[in-house]
Amino acid sequence: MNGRVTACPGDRRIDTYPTHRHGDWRLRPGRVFPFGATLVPGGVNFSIFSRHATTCTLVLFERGEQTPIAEIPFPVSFRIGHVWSMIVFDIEPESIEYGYRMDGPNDPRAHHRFDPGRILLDPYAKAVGGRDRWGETPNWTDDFPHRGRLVFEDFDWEDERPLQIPIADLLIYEMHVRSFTAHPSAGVRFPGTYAGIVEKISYLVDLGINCVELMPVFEFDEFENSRISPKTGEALYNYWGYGTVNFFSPKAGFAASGSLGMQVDELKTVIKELHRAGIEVILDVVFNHTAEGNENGPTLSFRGLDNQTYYMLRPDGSYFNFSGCGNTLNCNNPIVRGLVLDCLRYWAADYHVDGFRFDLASILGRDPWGSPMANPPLLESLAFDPILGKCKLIAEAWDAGGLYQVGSFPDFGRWAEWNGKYRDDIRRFLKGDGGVAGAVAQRLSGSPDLYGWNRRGPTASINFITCHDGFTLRDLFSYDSKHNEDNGEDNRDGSNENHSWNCGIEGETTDDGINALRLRLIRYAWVVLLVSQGVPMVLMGDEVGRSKRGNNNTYCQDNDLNWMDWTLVEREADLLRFASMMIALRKAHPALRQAHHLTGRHDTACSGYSDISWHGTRVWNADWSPDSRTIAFMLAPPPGHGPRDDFIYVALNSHWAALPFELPALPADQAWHIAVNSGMKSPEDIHVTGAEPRLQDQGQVLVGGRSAVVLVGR
Amino acid sequence: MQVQTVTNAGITIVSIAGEINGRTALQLEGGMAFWPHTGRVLLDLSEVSYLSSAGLRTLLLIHRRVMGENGRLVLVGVAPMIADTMKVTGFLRYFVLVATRDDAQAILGAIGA
Repeated sequence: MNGRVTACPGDRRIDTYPTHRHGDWRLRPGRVFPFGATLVPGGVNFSIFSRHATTCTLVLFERGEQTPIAEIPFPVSFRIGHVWSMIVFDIEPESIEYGYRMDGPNDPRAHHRFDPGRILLDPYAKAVGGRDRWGETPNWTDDFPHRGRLVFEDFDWEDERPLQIPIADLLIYEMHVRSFTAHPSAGVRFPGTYAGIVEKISYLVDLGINCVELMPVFEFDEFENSRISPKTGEALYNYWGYGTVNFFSPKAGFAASGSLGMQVDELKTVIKELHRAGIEVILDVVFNHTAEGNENGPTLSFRGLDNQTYYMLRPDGSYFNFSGCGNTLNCNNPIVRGLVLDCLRYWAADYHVDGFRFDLASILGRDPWGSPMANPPLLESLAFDPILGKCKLIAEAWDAGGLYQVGSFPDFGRWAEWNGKYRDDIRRFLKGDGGVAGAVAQRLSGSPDLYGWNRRGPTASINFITCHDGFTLRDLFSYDSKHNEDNGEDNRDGSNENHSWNCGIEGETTDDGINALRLRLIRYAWVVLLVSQGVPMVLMGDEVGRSKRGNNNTYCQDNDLNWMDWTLVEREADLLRFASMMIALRKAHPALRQAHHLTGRHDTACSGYSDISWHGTRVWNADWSPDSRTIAFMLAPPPGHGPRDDFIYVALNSHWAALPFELPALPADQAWHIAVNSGMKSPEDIHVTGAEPRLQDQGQVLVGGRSAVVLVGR
Repeated sequence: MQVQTVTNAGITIVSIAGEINGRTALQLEGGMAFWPHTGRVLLDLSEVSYLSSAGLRTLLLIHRRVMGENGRLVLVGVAPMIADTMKVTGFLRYFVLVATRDDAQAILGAIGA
């Protein structure tokens, strides 16, 4: 076992023979592109950038061993520009791990932190060893904890291809790979893995969503957390995975086959199966910082390869911290920009990923000294990239350094945004706050105040009421304030701006009235989200009323605070029915998911009605006063070539009491039918499309307190 | 890894014992040229204790070559752990797996020579 095989005969180019030797290793000058380690005839091509290093050595290990089998310095003649490249022959790809030693100045004030004593992970490695099984205690004495591995890039996609669902039709389900099936109640063969997702595809299909947004799947270190659980005394994790070790490698510990090094095949298989079921895959990507932390953090990769290139640094050599996580990736350095672009192209081309959600994306618009740029070259490059041409690009349009760009993120005609204002305004309206009716009308109609001024349209708005950050939908109506004591920071972590309401008692209760009210508010929220123009995103488990027991920042919890409890599928069957039928309702009505902002003026469909009209308890009389807690609107059938849609009328009543709403008159031969009455008990809360009962009184409808009614006119 | 090849009733029976890893996979692939060309191949893996990523790729390569000659390949006695790996990594879908040689011979025999 020395990691080598005898070269096998085969077709040979004349430039595939060794020209150099190091000991008994046979070498030749490599190809500078592509960066990383690439299988080539007879060997492996290694290519690595460093502008400021003086020497570079390739270090090869047998898998998992502590002593290298070879240290091969790159000959001076193998360096072109700032790139070292070399082909090493007779490597058996499966048993090898590799890294680099870089020598160069170690002068933090000059922004250099070279240390030839460290072995460094290749930023372009396609798989990383060292955390092969989730939660398995690492060898803390390992000098090279995250190791580059070679992968066979030969996945057979057969006839599969990305789905390219129009963004206006997208229904996003935000989920965490491990959380989805780790709970024993999931009943899958490999809990908490990529493979586990495949066993639950039919559940997602039945729910009706057509896109999953996976929280970070790039290789991270779940042990990158020094805090201790005050409850159990056990170490807390970096569970969510916002702390990238390597941008090109799937998290091995999420793979049932991770111990065999087959995480690449496994994740690609999941994406292929999701696509076959009509479900797109968006990845939550974290380019704002890395797992190396600040000057006190570990040297794993970037810091030792070329600190000055990869990080935003203060004049004294310390790290800017716009991410809140210790360091900030220097995204608008041309080298780093290239890395980000190469990375996303790789995931789009090799993994058939349909889109990306960029964590703290405003950092991607900062220059190397931290100032926001008017036309950030990275964002422009991504928007115009040919390989990413059909990918959804979604920004979390703020950062931890105080930049808040919801409505103003540089979009280059491509970028959508997590609409944080949607979340906040809708939450306030749902819990009964006054003074938000006008803002809520904007949110319901795709936030034209944010996205109407520069032709971005409602699909620039990713609408969400809950996401991984913050309360679940059930907790939103069960807790007045956060309860994060389990995170080991005395409840200081997590947001204090929750706009939540506990309905009378903080936390779980046996009070039937309060529990009924909470479910009523959850259904109300589902209606509001699914009738809003823009792109709805729901949080895993909100369809069955999942709770995180008031913890609004479960980033470190590898337990049922994060795990989906599948027993809820039966226990909350009525809510699940309601949620899936709300999704079906949205799918059935193009009027609810239009690609352009509604005007309120045009008679676009020659129906005699404007595309959207606003009402209140009095027809044609919307109440925009500060005390208003009611909103109603009517959508006329949008123009188009497909089957003509119905008229749709929505009444939202955030008042505690039931109120009668006068109804607009329909054309002579048409009548209002009840699709949704969220204040009713199941199954009267929602009706199957096409079988909605006719409304007896066509002149008005009674809308329960904290409830919504949706009518269809046909 | 040991490989034994026999022909029985027009079926090529290849019995493999040991580990199919990055090194032995190359031997297996290389030896394939010497298998009798019956177009009906029974690969008995019941003595295979470990199948690596490269090993799986070699199995797929063998499958493709047999199919390329309008033949048929059946795997016998794949250990449950290995079958699990094949499933989660997407390799399982290409293969026919059966429990016993009799099952395999029934399938291959039914195809006709």
